[in-house]
Amino acid sequence: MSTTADTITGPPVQPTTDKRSAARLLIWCVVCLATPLLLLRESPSPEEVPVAEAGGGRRSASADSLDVRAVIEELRQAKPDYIGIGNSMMFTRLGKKPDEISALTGRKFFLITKGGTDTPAWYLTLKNVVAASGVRPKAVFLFIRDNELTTPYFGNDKESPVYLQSLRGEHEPELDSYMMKSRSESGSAMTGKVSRWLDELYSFPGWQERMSRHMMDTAMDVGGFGATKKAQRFALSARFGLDHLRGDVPADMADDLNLMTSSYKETTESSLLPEMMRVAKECGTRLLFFRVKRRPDAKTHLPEEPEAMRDYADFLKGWLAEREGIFFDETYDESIRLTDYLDGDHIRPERQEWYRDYFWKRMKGVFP
Amino acid sequence: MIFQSIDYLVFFVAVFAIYWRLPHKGQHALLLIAGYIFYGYVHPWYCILLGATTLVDFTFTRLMEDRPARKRLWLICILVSNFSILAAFKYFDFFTDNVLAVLHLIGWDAPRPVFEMLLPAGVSFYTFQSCAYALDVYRGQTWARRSLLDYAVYVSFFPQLVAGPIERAGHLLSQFEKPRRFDWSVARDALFLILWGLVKKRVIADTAAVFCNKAFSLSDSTFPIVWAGVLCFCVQIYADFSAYTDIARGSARLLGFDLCQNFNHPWLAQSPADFWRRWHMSLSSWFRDYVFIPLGGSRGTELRVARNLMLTFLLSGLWHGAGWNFVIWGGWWGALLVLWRWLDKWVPGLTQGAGAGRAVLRWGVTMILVNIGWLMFREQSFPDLVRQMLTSPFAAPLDDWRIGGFFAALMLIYSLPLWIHAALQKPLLDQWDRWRDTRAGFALQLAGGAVLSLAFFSLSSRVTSDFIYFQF
Repeated sequence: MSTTADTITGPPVQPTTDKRSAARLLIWCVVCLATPLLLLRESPSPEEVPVAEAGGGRRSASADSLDVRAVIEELRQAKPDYIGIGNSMMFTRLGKKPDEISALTGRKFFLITKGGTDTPAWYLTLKNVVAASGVRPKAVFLFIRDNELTTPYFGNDKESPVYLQSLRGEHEPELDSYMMKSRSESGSAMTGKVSRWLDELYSFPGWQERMSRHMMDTAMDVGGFGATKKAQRFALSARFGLDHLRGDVPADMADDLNLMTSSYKETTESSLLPEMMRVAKECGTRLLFFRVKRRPDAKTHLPEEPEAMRDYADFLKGWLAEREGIFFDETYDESIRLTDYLDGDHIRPERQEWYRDYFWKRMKGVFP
Repeated sequence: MIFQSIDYLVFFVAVFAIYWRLPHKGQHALLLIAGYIFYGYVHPWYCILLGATTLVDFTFTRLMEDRPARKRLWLICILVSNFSILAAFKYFDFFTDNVLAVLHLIGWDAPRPVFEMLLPAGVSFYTFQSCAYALDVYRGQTWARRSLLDYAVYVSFFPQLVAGPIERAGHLLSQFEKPRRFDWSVARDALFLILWGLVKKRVIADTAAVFCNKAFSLSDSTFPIVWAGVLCFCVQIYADFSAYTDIARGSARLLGFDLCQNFNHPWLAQSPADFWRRWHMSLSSWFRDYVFIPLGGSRGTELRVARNLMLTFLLSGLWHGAGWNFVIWGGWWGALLVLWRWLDKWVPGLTQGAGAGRAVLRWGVTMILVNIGWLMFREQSFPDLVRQMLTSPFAAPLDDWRIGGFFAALMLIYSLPLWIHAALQKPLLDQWDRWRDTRAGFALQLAGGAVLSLAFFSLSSRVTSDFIYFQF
């Protein structure tokens, strides 16, 4: 019999079927399943989550959370004409601060951006920050790509649970129902139910964040050549900024465009979009969606995407128009060239100024 | 279907629940159906290829015994058929791109033929397994099976279908022919192994992948960041691939099968040859038995042996992927083995001397060579590979050293369980047969299970990816 150096256990032995072995197997399974439930049941309290010294997100209490009260206060004071909610697609196009776009247009802009955020965070920002502030902007605009705004697969695994948590109100039935539905729909009907059940039992995002932070802090202590963690985080942020990335790295690209389905109506109706439209209407503003162009081919100046994507974009435009929403699709605009891109869907910093101008020309058509 | 998904959990529980209630042949029928569902779960057309390979190889190996006069012809039919599938799906783009590049050099720009097909996952694994069977039958080392069902289950056995270990007929196929009984103690070991595999994949490999991708995403990376990235990749690829093997072996054990060993602590290797005796052992032995030895092996002049080694490793590199970086990686290993062999012969004191100091030195040198190889493996763009190879330690700013130090320290921390596993091998795991059913052994396994379970649920990376070897 071979040795089993690559395993943590030994090779199979002669079969034993005694009751003791069966009982031991049962005990082993129970211990493995129960230990995390017992020890990780209580989430670490928020104040125990270390605050990242480097910051990163705009107006953040920490790198991973948003200080909702502070942002609401700023909004009330600024009384902006337009509010942008988005992720890196937005801040690499318009800038992290609204000063340039405000100066260019002569209108008051306000941007609430955080890298890696998706529909759930945008929905909560619209509802719990913009609507809750009582300000009445002419429009709230969001940058989207492909069909991610309404796809049931999107937005569940990438977002920071701490950031989402910081945006949540006490009760978020629409969001919870959407998150559950998304998890179910990302697998088959049967595995979706199992997945949902397991997720309710065995999901410990607070502990995951805390433990991963501890690991990183320890590694910084060990490998940082005496620099403070704050300094190291600043260095990391700067070093892996977009201006240092390789052009062939498809940052933020969706994993699989084949997930494109033709049941647009169904997925749109069951997404968070209808709820977002309702909130926007209630607070007397209009929602404006910019579908950004992915990095195009050098010759055709068009990105590679399934035929169904164009049908979807047409559908979404019509769906939004019926509800006083606005949809711009820059995908087929050949004036945006390959050379404007830093990577998959981020614009080069030196092209930001040009893009702001491009953006405002489109906006002006609707809000002269 | 991927091992770390809920889909696999549900699928496996269903198969397991039915499996042990069925008679011997019924179990095979179930495994066959399960294998095809597993393989065609995302792209059902993959099953056509798998079925075709099975039918062709089964038919021609039977012909080898039924019509032995044309044995060689039947073998050629099998090899041509299997390698045509590999050539079409895996190497077509690589081949046409290179031919077109050469034509371009001589001033002829031919249009690029379009053959947009996804590379079927694991095609290299089951093709090699099936070829091994045919070659063994041809050499008379095993006999041609008369049961299509047994053979089809052997090729499509789902735990090891997509990323090995590449099994031999003498080991796995013979297990299909014997009756199996469920064993509670073995089942406990199997579940432990699966849990260990999941921790390696979701905690270690997936975390290492995040930092590795970061390091390789820079357009202006410097020496410390490049090599910290390589270190991350070294941890990622070992944890990822050995995790797959562990989950495969654990799943197979729950069904009453013992899959062969694929890793033997490669990080402890003290020479390039030692590394390949410990890394992806089922593939190494495949190339040894079906390429290196038929080429002449270690017999003949030193130059002839060097040629055999180089050819074997170049082919091994090409097996891993259709890209020049993989060929270069294979060439690197071939050259190292040749060089080490010569050093062994001419300066034995350098490569074989006893004593802890020399062992540590050999280990250190081997690890450096292994990691240079991983850079070639990971970086698929040739200009970027050259750029990264040429980075100088003296040109890097202090902040980059700090980032490199942080990445390296993080990898050391995350890879601690792998080192502990290696340390426990001799005193505990090699004697596990004696420990398994004792109270102390059970208590140890219980504690280990609880720790692994806690680690899995509190330390898993938020993002996961396919197993690296799926693409091969």
